[in-house]
Amino acid sequence: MEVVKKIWIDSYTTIGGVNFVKKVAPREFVLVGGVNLNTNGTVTLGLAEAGQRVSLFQIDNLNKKSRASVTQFIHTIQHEYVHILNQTRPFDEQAWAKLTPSGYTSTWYNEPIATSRSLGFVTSYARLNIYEDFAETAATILTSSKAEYDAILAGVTDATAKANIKAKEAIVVKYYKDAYNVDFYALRDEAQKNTDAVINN
Amino acid sequence: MKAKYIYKCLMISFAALLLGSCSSPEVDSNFDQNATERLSSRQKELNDVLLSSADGWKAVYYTDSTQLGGWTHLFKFLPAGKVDMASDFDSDTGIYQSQYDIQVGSTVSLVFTTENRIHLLSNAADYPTAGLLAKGYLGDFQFYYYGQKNGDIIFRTNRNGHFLRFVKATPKDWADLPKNTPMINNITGDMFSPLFRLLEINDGTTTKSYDFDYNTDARFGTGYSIEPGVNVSYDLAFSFNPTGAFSKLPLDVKGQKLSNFVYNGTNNTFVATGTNGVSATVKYTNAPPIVTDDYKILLNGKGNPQMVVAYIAANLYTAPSTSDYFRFLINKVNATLPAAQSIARVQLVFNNASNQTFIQYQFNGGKAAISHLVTTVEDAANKTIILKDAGWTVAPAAYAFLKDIDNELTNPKGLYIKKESFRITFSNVIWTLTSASSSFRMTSYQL
Repeated sequence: MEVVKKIWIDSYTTIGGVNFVKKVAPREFVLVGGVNLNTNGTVTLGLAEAGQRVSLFQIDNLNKKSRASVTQFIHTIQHEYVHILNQTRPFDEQAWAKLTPSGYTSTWYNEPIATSRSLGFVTSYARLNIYEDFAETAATILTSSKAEYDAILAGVTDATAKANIKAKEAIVVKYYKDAYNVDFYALRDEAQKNTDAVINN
Repeated sequence: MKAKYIYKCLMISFAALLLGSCSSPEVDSNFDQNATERLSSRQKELNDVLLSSADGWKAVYYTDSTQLGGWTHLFKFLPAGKVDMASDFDSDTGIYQSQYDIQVGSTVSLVFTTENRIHLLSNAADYPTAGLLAKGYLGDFQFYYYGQKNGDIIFRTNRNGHFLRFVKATPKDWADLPKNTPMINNITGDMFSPLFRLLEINDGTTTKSYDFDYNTDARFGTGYSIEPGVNVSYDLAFSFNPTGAFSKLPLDVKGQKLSNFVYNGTNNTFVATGTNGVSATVKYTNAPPIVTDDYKILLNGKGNPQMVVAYIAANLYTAPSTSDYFRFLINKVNATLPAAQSIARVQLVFNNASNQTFIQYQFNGGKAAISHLVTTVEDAANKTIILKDAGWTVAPAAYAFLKDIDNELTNPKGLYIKKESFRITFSNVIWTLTSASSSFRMTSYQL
């Protein structure tokens, strides 16, 4: 929970104001040590239910000294929180759906990430539907440093795909500004700073 | 009149008061303490007894003896809610520390609240059989306190209500735990261990054999009778100790209950011994429990038609009937070849138009095929077909890299041949070729 507080809550509090998380936040956290296994062989890392409760799984695997482990954990929290923000104030679904309508699939877990990126999706899970797409895009940017995210974009060779990912990024940035008056990039920088603090202490 | 009326009312109410006050509120209580006091004292009682054992506690946890064996755990409870724990779930028998709590659920319970060895039995992503998908090993980490008996602590598990007994541990128990690992490895075997397991039951006069189907993760096995028409089977649910294995389900042989299977290092067997010559043995064997006559159609000189069977790497490398040792040998051959080349097929042709029988090794990546001519010999007693060397199509230097795998196919004790009933991807009949001397088993398509 200290990781949750430092990287997620403190970042939003610093950029969004001291009452930001108090007003729009889950009222209950459920931390589960073990694995939530799905019938198709995938695992569920987190759940955000009706803006009230966030459940996080595989807590036993969290290694506070490993940047990869902490980033994976925080990605889940940031992703679930984006859902909660969306459940309170919706994003522009019509504009989003126009960008990459043919790439959504229910068997996202069979798709390699390179293929998904070449179709304009930041991760394969983003291809499940536009809500997961939005949450994955926002969460990926928030949990990557500017250099890391630039590297992701640089790795996308298809010009249309890169343009679409950037267009989605723009919708996310606009959403945070319009709906919550938050500078998304400042939030990202704050979260990166806090992630470093957690790992190095 | 009014006064009398008032007087009557007064009398009635006075009587009512008297009668009302005659009922006694005192109830004899069955307990000396109230419910809250009883619960807290029970919690304290459990915590005290857990801390009271100087060397901690030992529990052999059989999670469900209808399908799973037992895992040995050692606990040392420490002040401030900490516990040291070790188990023989896998080869890591080290001691790890985590937290425990005494919680009140439907009754006072011991809960291991942070991750440790016991939680390995309840991991949704790690399950020993397909039927236990997402259920793990049916383990628990919350145990209801049922009391003490002869110094042992009796619990019932949360999920399935089975009994679990904590026995006072000794320093020897802690020192002995790592010694379970070699015993577990003895029954698990490795890729070189014979492919089949047998349960032999000697009732003092006759010995009967059973095909012992054992799941090493589940620590549970069933012995099926191999006598035609006989439908008897025996279940064994194993836990391990430094001298062998112990079955929670005893084998009933002539009224004797056999559970203690002691390991015999000379024969690589686990033997439970009774009296008057009664015993039960778990052992490995290279001979399949049921041996067929399928090999007969492959023999030379009987007027048999041509038969071609081929191991095709692309489809059959991963077949469940292909043994690990076979894959090991294929990998070894491929490692000697340049990157672009590998074994594509191991094809056996029996009794072609020119009356030849040969093993043909075909390759990917442009390498020419190499053939080894053989003749067949029948071992009618053991029902194997022996392939005897009759020359190669290339010089010895050119086939040296195939020697290991070829030696298995041409081994002096021969091959068990079985026409299988399952199919793999295509409708071709599947034939398995199993060595009578090793754990080599090849899956092939009939072409």
